Amino acid sequence: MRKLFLLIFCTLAIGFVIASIPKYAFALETCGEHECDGWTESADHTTCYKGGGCPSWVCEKVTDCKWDGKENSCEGNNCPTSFTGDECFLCKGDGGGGGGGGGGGGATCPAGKVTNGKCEAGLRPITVANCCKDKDGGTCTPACTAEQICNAEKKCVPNSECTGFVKASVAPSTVRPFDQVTVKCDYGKRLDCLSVTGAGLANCRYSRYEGTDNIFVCDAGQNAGFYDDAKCTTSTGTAGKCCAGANKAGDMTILGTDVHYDQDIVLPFETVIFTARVQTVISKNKGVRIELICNADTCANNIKKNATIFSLPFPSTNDFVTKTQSTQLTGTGDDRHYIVRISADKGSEAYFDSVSMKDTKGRELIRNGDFTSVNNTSVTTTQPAEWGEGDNKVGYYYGSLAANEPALNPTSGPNPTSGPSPTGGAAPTTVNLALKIKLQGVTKKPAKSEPINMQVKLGGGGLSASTAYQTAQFTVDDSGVWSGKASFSSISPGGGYRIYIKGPKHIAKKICDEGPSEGKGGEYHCGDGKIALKAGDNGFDFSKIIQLAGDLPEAGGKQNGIIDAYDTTFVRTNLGSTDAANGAIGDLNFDGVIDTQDYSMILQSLSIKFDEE
Amino acid sequence: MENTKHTKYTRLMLLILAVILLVASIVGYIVSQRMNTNQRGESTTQITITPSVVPTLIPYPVQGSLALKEKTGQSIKLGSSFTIDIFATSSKDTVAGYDVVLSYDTSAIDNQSVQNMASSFRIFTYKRTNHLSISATKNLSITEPIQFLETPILSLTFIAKKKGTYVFSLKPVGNETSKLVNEAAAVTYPETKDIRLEIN
Repeated sequence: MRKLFLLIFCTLAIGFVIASIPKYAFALETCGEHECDGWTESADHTTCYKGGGCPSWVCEKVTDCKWDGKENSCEGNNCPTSFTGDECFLCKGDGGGGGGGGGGGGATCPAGKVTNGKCEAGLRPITVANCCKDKDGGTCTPACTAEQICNAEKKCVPNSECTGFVKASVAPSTVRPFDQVTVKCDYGKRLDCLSVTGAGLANCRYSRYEGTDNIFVCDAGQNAGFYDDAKCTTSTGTAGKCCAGANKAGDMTILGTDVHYDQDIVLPFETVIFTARVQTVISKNKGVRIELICNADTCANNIKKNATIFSLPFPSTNDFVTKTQSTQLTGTGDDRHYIVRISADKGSEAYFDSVSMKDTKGRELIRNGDFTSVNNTSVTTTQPAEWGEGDNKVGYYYGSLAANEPALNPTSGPNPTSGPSPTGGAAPTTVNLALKIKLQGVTKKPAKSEPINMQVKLGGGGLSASTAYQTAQFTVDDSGVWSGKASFSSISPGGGYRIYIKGPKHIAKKICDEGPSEGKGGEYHCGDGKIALKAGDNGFDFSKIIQLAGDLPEAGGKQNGIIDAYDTTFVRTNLGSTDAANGAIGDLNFDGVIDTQDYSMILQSLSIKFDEE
Repeated sequence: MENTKHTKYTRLMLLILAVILLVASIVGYIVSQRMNTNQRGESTTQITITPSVVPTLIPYPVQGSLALKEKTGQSIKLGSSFTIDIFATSSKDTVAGYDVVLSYDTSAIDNQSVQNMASSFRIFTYKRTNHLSISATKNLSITEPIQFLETPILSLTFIAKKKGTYVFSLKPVGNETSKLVNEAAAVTYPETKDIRLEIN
């Protein structure tokens, strides 16, 4: 009961206070110079009216509007149309100021007529266009810019002493990290107060003066992205020639060296927990990373646009690994824009399974979307256009991301025929291999005896890692022995080498001996390399062992290094087929038909199943 | 009399002032809470979590399922054997071959045997470092089409070697994938779900 009483009392009290506010809060403003245009200004300069006039107190009160002796309501500060058609409204002044003390959009009181920061009663403030100082010395808006001065009439005018900006440019507009960038700042003359800022440019140095261009050379930043804040910046300089200021120089884009998929997202200002599940198959150069990039002018912890908030590296692993990163995101206003970047540097390949970002309450902030597979593209792969930033999608099934060598710049990329650097021994040179091999199921010259392409690579010996596979053409003789040649540069002559051979429908065979043999077909296996290579030609006869068939080419003609259910089923399904297209895939003994011999061969090869490494 | 009246009036004014301050505080608090709620509403996005999907180099069709089921459904005693059955559904498509890639902690669990439950198929089992790889091909003698509908295809027996909680997964390992292959040698990738077992 007592609480109820208190509540009622409080409500009444608040109503009382609110009702009282207008009396004390509203102060009459003097009408602005043009405020009563089309109307008549009242004698006390506080109202504008039409017709017979409207005393200011009428408008001052929200009720009891009296007009021609009759009651009328008065909403806000405007009297409605009266019975006689007369109207009035209460002046608001010029921008609400009206005094000589400041503000007022350039309005100021006549000299010496300011009292308590306002024009004396009955005086209208004078508007001074582009005012920089009022006549009592206080400032008013607009303030002069860095390239303006306040003249004797207290107006901001261009500073004729300042050197004017003409134009600027950035070249090239698309660069790689750390590339050289030329920025031209044209101010019509040579300046000693000039610098180049923004866009992640670093180490900018004055190069020369050409024509009217002040030319700077800078290094592009390391963070890939689009930059629109490269500026020619002037400071207050020698002999008044320079006034502090900045002028946009141009836009530029810094390319990443990797294939990457970018997704724009908006994140809240709080702690977020980022998780990704990735298997990196090959990691080269900067490897495989998932990064959070700032996509606003300023992001968490004052990190600037295009800079990395965090980077989760994924070294190569045999299986998927999950990594988690917790990050506090701070900021204000629009600083909530980020990019989730999924990158594979050149030569790297990875499978992406899931990416998640949750807030502290466990709510998922991003959603998996679909970018399928991205291979060897040198440009940024961005989200589909129909995805809005607010969708916060990142990839549906991630598929794979592969940045195949050679590098983006072919002219500076590695020699495709060369392998990894030799680790020591004799000086690297070119070695040529002349090889004889035998394929499973081929005991004489087959019906389909066209040359075939085999893949050959070297390992062991003086190599720190195996070379890349090279394609070598092999031809078959009457006894079913295939012969072919392959050449490798930058190989140190010496022993300990292994030779890997993989046929177009076969699993890779590792050979460690110069004259290998086997009892039962396919049972030869080896460990360390024992093959000696010399500079120039090297001939090896591997025809006493067989290359097992069964890893059939799949979509795009690629083999996956495994004999799996697809391979066995393809042969089984096409039993009896003499179709050339089917035969090119499943005719393992090259006799022109897919038959039970092929099926038996593939089942036999299942004893090995995998490429030998 | 005048003093008393003045004191009462002063008290009343003070009370009103106090009440106003109190109400203003409450209103201010409520308003700020609402603003916070609105801001939070703007900055977070309600998202549906999409289930993780098996990746591959080439976009592929997802169809059917492979399910792992532990027979007892209970925690497993250290040193004891247990069985995981694999059930397949081919979603009305035929099956002429399949691959199963089963990952688990091979340092804690040892595979003892793999039993073929679908006699129309011949299986080939490979023990790899961190997983089991099983490839199956339909026997040549079987000519009628076969479909899987929650069909038990494999029964795997393991021995628990270490205490802990362990996950069995059918997700890809390198280039190896769990998949179904139909009579036309077309590959589909079934949905899979991990199972988690506890060894005490």
